[in-house]
Amino acid sequence: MSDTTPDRYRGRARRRLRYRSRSVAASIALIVTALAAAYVGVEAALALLGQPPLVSAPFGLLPLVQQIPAVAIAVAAVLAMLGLICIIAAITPGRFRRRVIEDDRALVVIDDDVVASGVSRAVSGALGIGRTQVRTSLGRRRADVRVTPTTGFAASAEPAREAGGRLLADLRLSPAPTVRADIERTGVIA
Amino acid sequence: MSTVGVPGEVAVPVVSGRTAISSRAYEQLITALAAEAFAVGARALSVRVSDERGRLRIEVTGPVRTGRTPILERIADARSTLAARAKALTGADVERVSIHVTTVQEEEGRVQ
Repeated sequence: MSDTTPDRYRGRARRRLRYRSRSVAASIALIVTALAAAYVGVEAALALLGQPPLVSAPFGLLPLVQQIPAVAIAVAAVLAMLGLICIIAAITPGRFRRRVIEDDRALVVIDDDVVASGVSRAVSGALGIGRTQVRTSLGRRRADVRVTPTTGFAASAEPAREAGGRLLADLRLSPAPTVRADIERTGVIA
Repeated sequence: MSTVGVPGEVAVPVVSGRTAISSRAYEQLITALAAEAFAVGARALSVRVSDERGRLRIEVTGPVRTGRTPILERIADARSTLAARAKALTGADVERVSIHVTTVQEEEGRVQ
């Protein structure tokens, strides 16, 4: 009988599969900084050597910015946007929308949207309506199911909730979400 | 697959699945029902179905025959008959039947 996966590897592997690496954002930031530094360095070296500047001396750009307000505003806007993007990328958790299926032998990870479409399919089958009439959004602890009923045929939320709950229970997700089902007041005919 | 049955009868298997009736199908069916109720030809009638609060909304436009049966009575009867027969034939609940009478057709052989 094989050993079960050691717990500390499980934890690390789990985190690896669930969270997005920030290496892309870090690489871009580093490349931009490197280019800016290279530009300043080359111009400085050329100035020291008494050679004409390659693009223009860094300080030569300042009067341009000062004289034309439009340029200054554009530059400021671009820098502000970049700054905002960097802040957001740094602060958000960087989590893939995935969750873990409990299993002794293997670490199984499933995408949230796969689970959501599975719930939609189960609910539409249980209610006898089309799959396009069910929309599921999966949060961390709760699945929200919105059902658009068929005109003339009332739908009840309880069987929908049960069908969704049964599917989620079968999947043995961790964390296990609860199901909430709402029936829209307006239906579609076919 | 489940079965439903009454003691003494053969059990009928119930197969799961989905039944969808298109707007056009409803309209054709109700046109035929209304033609009967109004005692006019089906081609003279125009029927639209739509959703109202989750149930069927039926709008019938066209002529109604008058004569021995007063026209208002015919329309009132038609309204309840259409809703009941549509439900019996399709299973769909009807929220509203709107009738727009365009012309009145005299009953054949009526003495003026």
